[in-house]
Amino acid sequence: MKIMKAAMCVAMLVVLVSIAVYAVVTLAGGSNVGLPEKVVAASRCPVAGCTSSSCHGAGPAPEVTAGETMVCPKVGCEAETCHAADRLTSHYNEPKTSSLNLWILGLSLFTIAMIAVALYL
Amino acid sequence: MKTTRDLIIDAVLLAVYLIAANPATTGLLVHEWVSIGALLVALVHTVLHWDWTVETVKRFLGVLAVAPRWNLVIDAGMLAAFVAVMVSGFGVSRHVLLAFGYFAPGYFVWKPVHSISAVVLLALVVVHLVMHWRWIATAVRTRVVEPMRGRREPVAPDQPCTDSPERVS
Repeated sequence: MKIMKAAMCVAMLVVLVSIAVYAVVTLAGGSNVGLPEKVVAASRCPVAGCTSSSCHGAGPAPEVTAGETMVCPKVGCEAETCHAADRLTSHYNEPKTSSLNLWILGLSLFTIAMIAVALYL
Repeated sequence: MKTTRDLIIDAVLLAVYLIAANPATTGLLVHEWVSIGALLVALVHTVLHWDWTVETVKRFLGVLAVAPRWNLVIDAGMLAAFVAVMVSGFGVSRHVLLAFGYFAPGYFVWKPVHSISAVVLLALVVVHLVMHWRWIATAVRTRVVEPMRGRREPVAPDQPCTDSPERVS
């Protein structure tokens, strides 16, 4: 019973903090941010705003051929000399590969070293 | 028994968190589903320490030692960062939401929130581990290392075997 009460309290706290986070980000992000929506045939791509029937999903965007342009999902730019087109075709929707790995490795080594020192000193 | 239970849950939480926090290695599919597992284990961890939280909050403005005061501040920060990571994670989700037929608009708003809150959470996890390192070390020593040593070391010839029943004459 005591555990159930604690679980209810924790769940309520998490929900309240979640609502606060969502409210702050929605205020900052404006109309771009919204609650999850059901995917239907006419849904626009949540990233690129594209409604093409040949959707590339979460994979890299297709290469832009000569004469074609691609709308930048971030700033809405259609310039052929887009500064971020290479990211759309090569690094789109992929996690970064460097910094966080080092953090994780450092954290793991630190924890193991700390326990080892405490055990043998 | 309570220490063993807490140690197991904490070890599982750390392991799941380390997997979830490394999407570049695991890929986004594993990252998203394991993160939900991390959320569940973190909730269990929080529920099991809820009594301490309530007591510390009650005494926060009164007489309270420095260590629990800072522990509460760090823990509150971790809760906020964890929730921010999870909420923004749903905002950038490409697998979990899609598995239920949903997507969340605002990818480029949620993405920096997700990245920043993840790094803040990681930093707070390090501080949390440092602040509890003595408990971790003692628990590992008494519940893992010493029982394993006890099992491996043979009974010395000059010591009586304590496992055998005493003879009653």
